[in-house]
Amino acid sequence: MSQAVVEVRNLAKKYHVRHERMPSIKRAVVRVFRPYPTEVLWALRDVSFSAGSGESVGIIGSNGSGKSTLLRLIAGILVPTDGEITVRGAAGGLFELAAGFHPELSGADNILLSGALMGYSRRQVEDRYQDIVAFSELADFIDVPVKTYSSGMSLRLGFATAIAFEPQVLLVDEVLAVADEHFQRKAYGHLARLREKGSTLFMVSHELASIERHCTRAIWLEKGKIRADGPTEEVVGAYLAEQGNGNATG
Amino acid sequence: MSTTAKPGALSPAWRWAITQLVRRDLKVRYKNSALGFCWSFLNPLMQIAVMTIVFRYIMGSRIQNFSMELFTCFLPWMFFSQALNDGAVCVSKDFLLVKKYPFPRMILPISSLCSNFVHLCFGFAVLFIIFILLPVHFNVYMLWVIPFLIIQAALTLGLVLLLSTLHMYYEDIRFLLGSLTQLLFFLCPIVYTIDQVLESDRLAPIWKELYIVGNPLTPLFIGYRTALLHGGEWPVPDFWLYTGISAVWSAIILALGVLVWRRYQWQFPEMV
Repeated sequence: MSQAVVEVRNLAKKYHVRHERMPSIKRAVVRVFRPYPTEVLWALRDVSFSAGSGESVGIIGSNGSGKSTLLRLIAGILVPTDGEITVRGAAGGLFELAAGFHPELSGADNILLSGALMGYSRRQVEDRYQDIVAFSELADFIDVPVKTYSSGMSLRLGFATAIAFEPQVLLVDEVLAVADEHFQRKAYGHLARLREKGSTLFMVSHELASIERHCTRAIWLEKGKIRADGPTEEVVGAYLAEQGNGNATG
Repeated sequence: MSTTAKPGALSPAWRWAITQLVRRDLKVRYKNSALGFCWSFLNPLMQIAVMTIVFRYIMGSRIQNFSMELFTCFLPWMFFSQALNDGAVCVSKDFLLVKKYPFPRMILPISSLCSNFVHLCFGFAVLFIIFILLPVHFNVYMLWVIPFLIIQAALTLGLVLLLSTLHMYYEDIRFLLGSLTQLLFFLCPIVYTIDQVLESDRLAPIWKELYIVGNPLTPLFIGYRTALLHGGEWPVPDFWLYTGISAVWSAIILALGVLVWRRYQWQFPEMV
């Protein structure tokens, strides 16, 4: 058995949720001494698993179950409150739609900026530039400000940029649902090819059908804990069964 | 197989990312303006013209060569106040980037400072042209501007790190900062000279001392003016001591800024 690419041990993530948005002047004075009354929310607690090269893992669960938090922790954007994450290789992915593209800059400038912020060198980004433009099918619009793009176009550019550097760990959060049929098929096809080359895929989606189609394994998160972890059909089946029960009794 | 580097470590590899952010800032700032980059020196020129009229011709300031005296200090002042106001919001402004990529957060304040430094360079280029036209003859003392700018940049970065962290919790910072920088403008020897402060008979000596020691910007503005216009005839007896104190101040604030930033930078993406 080869070494795991992503290893997660007893991972926990705590948030401090702010309640007040518009504090009164009196509260503002109090706030100096005790900033914002907060409620502690455990987004993830005691999560452990590991995933190897070439695996594709779908992460399912209801809203607020910690799916996106888990993805961001793997990406290194958030730091764990407790526990450990080891990622062997680069992790990269696509989180919110178009987020992070500057609306006033052209597609071309945004590719350079995103690549630089992902930590790639100028040469690496320039080497992949043509691939990104080709994959996103935006050659005619690449010098136009991104604010003129449709959401589908932004998604294509974001996806093409995220996968161009072939990260060891691919993270895909919901977003692909916005793309048209043609691009979805192309994107999933590309993800499958990268997996064959050894990348590990993590996918968050509420569309259970696409999880079933593209993932061999699924992790079901419930209130920040792993409820089930195993072959996709079994986990999705159990998840659906419980959702059905919940609807019947509730 | 390689393990990913610990996120947050600022290494020279991130220089290109900083240049990209600076490039973006410069492109976006003047995107729809006909005069574009000219604004980075037209603005100070207009303000200097108005202030010259007010202070020299209406209020009768006895400073010789008022507009040039003002110009040499006003450019670094613009750098300071713009960098501070831009820098305080540098994380909130690029919050989407912070939520998307695990780059070392420090590149945001650094690139914000660098964009403003580019504007300062434009301003100095104009000053240089004016020096040639007047003509002011060039001398080696003018090079003292460089160490003064380094101290100022360190001080500004330190303040930006503190303010931008604070701004993530209290948006009040931005509003407060607007009026605070205006106050500070009059607390620095920009529209008046240090001689006028020292010669004032209404200020007790302790205030004069505090004026120089307590504000790390004071020796720097004395320095810019003297280095550029008065060939290094430093007007205050202990000028270098005061500059040293200013440098120590700046170093302390920068160190404090880095400490606070290190402590809080990974909480930024969790802010709503």
